[in-house]
Amino acid sequence: MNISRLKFFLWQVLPSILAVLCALLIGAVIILAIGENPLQAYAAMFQGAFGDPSSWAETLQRATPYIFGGLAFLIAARAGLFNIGIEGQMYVGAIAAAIVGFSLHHIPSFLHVTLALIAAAFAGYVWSIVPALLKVKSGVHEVISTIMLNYVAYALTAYLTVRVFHEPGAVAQTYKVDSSAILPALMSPNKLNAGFLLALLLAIAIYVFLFHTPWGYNLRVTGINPSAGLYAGIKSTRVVVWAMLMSGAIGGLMGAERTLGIYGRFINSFSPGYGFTAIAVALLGQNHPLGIIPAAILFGALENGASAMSFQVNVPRELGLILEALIIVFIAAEHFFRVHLRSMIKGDKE
Amino acid sequence: MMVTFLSVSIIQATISIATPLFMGALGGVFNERVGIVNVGLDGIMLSGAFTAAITSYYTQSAWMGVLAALIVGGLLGLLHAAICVGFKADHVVSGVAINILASSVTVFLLQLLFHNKGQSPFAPKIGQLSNAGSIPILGPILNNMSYLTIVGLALIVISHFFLYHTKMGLRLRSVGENPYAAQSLGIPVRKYMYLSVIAGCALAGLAGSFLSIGMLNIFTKNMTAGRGYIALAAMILGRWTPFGALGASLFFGYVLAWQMNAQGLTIPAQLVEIIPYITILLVLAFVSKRVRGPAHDGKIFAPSEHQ
Repeated sequence: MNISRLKFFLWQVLPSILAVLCALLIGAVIILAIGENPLQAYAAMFQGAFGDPSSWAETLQRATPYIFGGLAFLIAARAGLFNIGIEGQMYVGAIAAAIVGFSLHHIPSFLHVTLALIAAAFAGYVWSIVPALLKVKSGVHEVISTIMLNYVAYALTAYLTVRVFHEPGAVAQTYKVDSSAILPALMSPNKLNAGFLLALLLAIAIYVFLFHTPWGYNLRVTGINPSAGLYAGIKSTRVVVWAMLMSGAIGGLMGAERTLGIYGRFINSFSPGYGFTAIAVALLGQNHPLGIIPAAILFGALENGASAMSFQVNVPRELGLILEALIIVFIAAEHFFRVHLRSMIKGDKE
Repeated sequence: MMVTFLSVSIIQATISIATPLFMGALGGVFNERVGIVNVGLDGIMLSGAFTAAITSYYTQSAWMGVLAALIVGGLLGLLHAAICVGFKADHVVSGVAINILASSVTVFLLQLLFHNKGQSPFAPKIGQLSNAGSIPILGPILNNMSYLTIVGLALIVISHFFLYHTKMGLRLRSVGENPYAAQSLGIPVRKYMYLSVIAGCALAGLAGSFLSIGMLNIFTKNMTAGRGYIALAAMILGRWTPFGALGASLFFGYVLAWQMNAQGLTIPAQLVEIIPYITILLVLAFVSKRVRGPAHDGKIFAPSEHQ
C-alpha cells in the first residue's frame, strides 16, 4: 500500500475511531457517577469479550446479525435510501426460514439450508417492494413507510406464531425446524454458526459488487447525485428500487441466521432491536462492506463484554447499549470531526 | 358481537390516543418549518414519557413531571439542532441516533434506579375533567378528558396564531423555505433553527409525558411503540400546519381506537393490529404526491458553500 492510499485509509477510519473513543470516555464518566472504577469495568468488559476462545465465539455470534444488518443498510444507503425497516425484513425472513425448515423433510441438509435461506431472502425482498414502489411512485419517504411495515411484520409474525404454527412452550414459538435445516455450529456448545461465515462471504461479495462492477458504480453514483446519474444515462428510479429490494433480501437472510443457527425455530419478538442497531454498525463502518465487519465485532464485543462485566462490577449491562448509542451520536457529528481535524492538521481555517 | 364505528367511548378513546400524536406532530411542524427533519421524535417522546414518570414518582407531583419532560425534550432538541445545524450532519442519522440513545438510556436508568428493566413504579397522574357531563352535547365527550389534552389543544391554536399571524412566525416559515434568502434579509437563521427545533422537541417531550402520566400512571419499556413516527405521518398528512396535524392525528387516533374496540372479534387480534399501519401507508401513498413540505426540509444549511 503506497503512502497516499494509506493516508486515504486513515482518513476514512479516523472519525470512527474517534467516535468510539469519545463514547468510551463518556461511558467512563457514567461508570464514575455510579461509583465504580471505569478502568476495572472496562478491563472486565474486555476480558469478557476477548478473554478466551469461548468468549471470542460469543462475541462473533453476537456480531453476526450486525454484519448482515449493516450490509442490508449500506446497500440501500449507497443508493441514497435510509432503510430503517431492516427489523421487519428480518422478522419476515426469520419466519420464512422457519416455515421451510419445518415443512420440508427427508432432503439433504445442504439443500434444505439453501432452500430456507432462499425463502428468507425472498421474504425480505417481497417485504421491501412496497416501500421501494411508494418511494419512486408516490414520493413517500422510506423512513416512515419501512417503520410502518415493521409494525405490520411484528403483528403478522405474531399471528403466524400464535395462531398457525404454534408449538406450546414458555414463549410464543413455532415448531422446531428439521435437523437438516440447522446451520452447523462452528464452536459448539457456543451458538456461533456457519451463518457467520456466510455473512463474511456476503460482505466480500458486496464489496466486489459495489466497487468492481458497473452495476455497483451506477448504484453509488445514484446515491451521490441522482441527477448526475441521469445525465450519465443511469436509470436512477430503477437503481433505487433494486437497491431497496437487495437490502430487504439481506435483511431476510439476517433473520434466517437467527432461526436456523440460534433458536432452531421462530420465536415471537426474538429481536432486541438488531435491525436498528445494525444502522449504527453500518454508520460506524462508514457504509463500507469491509468496514462493517470490525464495526459489527466491536458491537458484539460491547454487548458480550458488558454482560460479563455486570457480574463483576455493579454496572448494569445496558451500559453496552449506551456505548453503542453514544458511538452513533458521535458518528452523526462526523462531518464536524472531519472538518475540524483537517483544519487542525493543516493549520488552516475551515 | 357487532363492530361499533361511533360511540361516546370511541370518541373519548380517539381524543385520548390522538393527544400524544397531535402534540408530537406539532413538534414535528416546528422542526420541519425551519427545515430540520426529525425522525428522533419517537425517541424524544420516549424520553419525555420516562422523565415525566420518574419525576412524578419522586416529587409526587404530576405537573413537575410534565415540566421535566418539557426540559428533557428541549435538551434533546438542542442536541439535534447542534448536530444538524452546528455540525451540519445528516438529519436522519441524528434522529436515529437519538432514538437508539433514548431506548437504551431509559432501560439503563430503569435498571439502575428500580432494578427493573420493564417498568417504573406507579406515579401520580395528571388530573382530568370531571362533572362535565351536564354540559349539553359536548358533555359526555369532555368528561374524563385529561387536562393535558386541553393544554395540547390550546397549544395547537396558539401555534397556528404564532405561525400565521405574527412577524416571527412568518420569518420562521421563511427559514424552512429558503434560509439563504432569509439570511440575506437579515433574519438570524441559525437562531431560528435552534429555537424552533428546541421548542418542537419540548413539545415531543410533552407528548411523551401524556403517554406515561396522562393516559396511564406508569412508564413501560419502549412504550411509544412507534407513535413518534405516526406523529410524523400525521404532520405530513396535515400539510405541516397545526390544525392539519390535529385533524390527521384525530383520524389516526380514530383508526387506533376503533382497532382496540374491534379486538375480541372473530378476526384474530394480531391481524386487527395491522389495520392502522396499513391505513397510514395507504393515506401517505395517496397524499404524498400532492402535498409539499417546506422547500429546504432535510437539507443542510451551509452558507459558505452556497453560491
